[in-house]
Amino acid sequence: MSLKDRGYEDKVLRVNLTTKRCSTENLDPDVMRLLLGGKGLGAYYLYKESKPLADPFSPENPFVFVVGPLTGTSAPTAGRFGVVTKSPATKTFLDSYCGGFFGQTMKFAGYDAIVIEGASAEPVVLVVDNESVRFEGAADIWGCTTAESTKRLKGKFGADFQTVVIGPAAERLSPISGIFNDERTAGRGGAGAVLGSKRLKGIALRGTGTVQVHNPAGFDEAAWIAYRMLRMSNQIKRMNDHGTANILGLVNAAGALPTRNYQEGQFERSNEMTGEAWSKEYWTRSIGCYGCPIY
Amino acid sequence: MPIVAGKTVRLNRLFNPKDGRAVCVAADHGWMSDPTPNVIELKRILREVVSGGADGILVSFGTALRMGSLFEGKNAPALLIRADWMNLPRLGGSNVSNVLPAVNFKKKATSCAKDALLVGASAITIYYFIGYSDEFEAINIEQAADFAKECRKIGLPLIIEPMAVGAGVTGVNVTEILIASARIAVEIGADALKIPYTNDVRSFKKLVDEAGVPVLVLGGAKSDDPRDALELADEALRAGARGTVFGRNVTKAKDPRKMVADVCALVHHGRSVDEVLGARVKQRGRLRPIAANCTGCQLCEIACVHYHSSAFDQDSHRLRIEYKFRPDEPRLSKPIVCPLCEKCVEACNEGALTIGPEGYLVLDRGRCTSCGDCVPGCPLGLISLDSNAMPVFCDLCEGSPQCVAWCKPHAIVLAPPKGDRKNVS
Repeated sequence: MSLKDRGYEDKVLRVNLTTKRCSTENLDPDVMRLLLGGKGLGAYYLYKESKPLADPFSPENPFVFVVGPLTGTSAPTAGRFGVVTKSPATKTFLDSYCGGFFGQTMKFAGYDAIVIEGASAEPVVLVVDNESVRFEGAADIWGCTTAESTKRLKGKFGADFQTVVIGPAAERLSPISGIFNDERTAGRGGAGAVLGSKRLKGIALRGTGTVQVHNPAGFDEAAWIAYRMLRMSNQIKRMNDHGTANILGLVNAAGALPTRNYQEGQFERSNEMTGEAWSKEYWTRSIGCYGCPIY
Repeated sequence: MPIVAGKTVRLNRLFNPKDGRAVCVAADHGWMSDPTPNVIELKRILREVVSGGADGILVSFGTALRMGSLFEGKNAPALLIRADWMNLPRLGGSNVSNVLPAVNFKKKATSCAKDALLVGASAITIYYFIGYSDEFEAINIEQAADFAKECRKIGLPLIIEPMAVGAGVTGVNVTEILIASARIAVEIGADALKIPYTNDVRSFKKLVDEAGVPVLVLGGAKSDDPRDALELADEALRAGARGTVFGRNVTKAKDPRKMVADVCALVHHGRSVDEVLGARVKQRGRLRPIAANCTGCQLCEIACVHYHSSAFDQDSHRLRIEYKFRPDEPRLSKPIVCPLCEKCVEACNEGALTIGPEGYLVLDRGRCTSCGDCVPGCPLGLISLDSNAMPVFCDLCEGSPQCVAWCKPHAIVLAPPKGDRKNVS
């Protein structure tokens, strides 16, 4: 059974920013058997292609966008994508994940992973329209905020393109900068700064392909039960009502809330930052990511 | 032996002697939640539960004292008493800063079997936690054994509720731990179990078979869709469960009486979920969007695509979500769905596109000339041509619209057909 019949696209896009060359390659079926989801795939490429002691900001540091076999299907939260690279904040393995609408579009464009190598001399945007891949200059949006950059890229390429962009902090190599798809962020470990060091302002991507699962009837049944579990889960109810920050109070109580650069583990005004406080004071509307019942 | 007889008599009060099954309602939530409507209005809700035909109601000892009248009379439900509690949610759900780390958990008996018997209980229910620290598990076993001993002496049935929570429990091993904990609880002395569903029939059947005592399945958080709890009950019954102990899915339901009656229909009368709620399939009607509920997650589009094709894509859906972006405001979205306006029927000169006898659009493929007139004919732009130049249009999934079934916030609902105001879904 081929990988394409069971959730994968069996294709990796390799982009070299130094030479501006792009190529595609297939996944290794023997290796795929050992890897779990997009996270495993990203870790595999980072492990395979990192050089020892390479600086996270050097062109040798590979940067991988990944999606998993469930991405693009009706499985809950199947629009998420991950980024894997060496972190400028911790100087070690970094994986960060992001909701929104980029993940499934990358899958429908036909890619399980996009491996970014090298570094560009000038700011660029990568434009992927299914099989066709090209670079566009990004001097005009270099320095723009993520919201402004997203708006301009969608204006330029069309609303059916999904984007990921970095903002001014990432351009200035801040080790806490993220990567944004619309208002959603892959925020961990300073992944944005790695793209900043490569002068890749963003990716605009369109996908009109398909994702195939091996046993559609069995898949549907499992997906339906998974959604039911989410609808009947105490934890998901808290997520719906108060967002990811619903655990902030617990974290603070446990003394694990980094405060003043972790000189302390508890913040005296944490009750103003809990999910409860947020949802009460600031929420106006629940908006969902692709295929996600948690909002 | 009189003691065994005592247990049998009381279990027979809980489990319907005709079919050996029971529909129970858990209403011991005053323990664990902040005062929510289902806790404050408990008496009114429980009256409805009783009139719905519940076989048993689980309450704390304090509530049993205050609401004893609910359990009076020949046909009143059996009283089940929650006899233990622990100090996890010390001051309710909103004061999380006061919660304890798992290592400080203490579980305490809050009642004893004898007191429960004196207020007329048919059984007591206690927790059995598995997955925390070794010490905590040891205390749990000891306490459960103490309760079992006490219950045996006076002939009161013991219902144990195993809970797999803690650092050692993961999504991978939770089912295995639950199955093991069920058997451990029985070995300790449980006469029946209250236990969460394992989410598939096969593993739950294993749990039921290995337990060897009557198993009652619990519900969990309240779902917005009453079908969820009923489907769960139906699956558990197929796996051999002897009934249900639903809490919030009943006490927070819009109509607790109907919810209990629906569960009874499944448990005692062998009805199917579709028979109870009306089938999701083959209902006449038309789609109606409720934009205020839409979160823009596109799950309706995914469900639409997947119903009509085994593959997934994000282009061939027959409805769509439209977004509106305003500066500095959250994204707005609304579903654009086929309202069965029949403009496409008018646009088709060949008479190939018609409203079929079942009330949804059908295409006569022999008559269709692939002229494409229906495409601009749809004022909402919901019709396109596929690779064979045949129109792709909303056929209401042949009467069972998947967008309605999958949309959690009910942003797409099935409205009655034109001119029919009675058949509201």
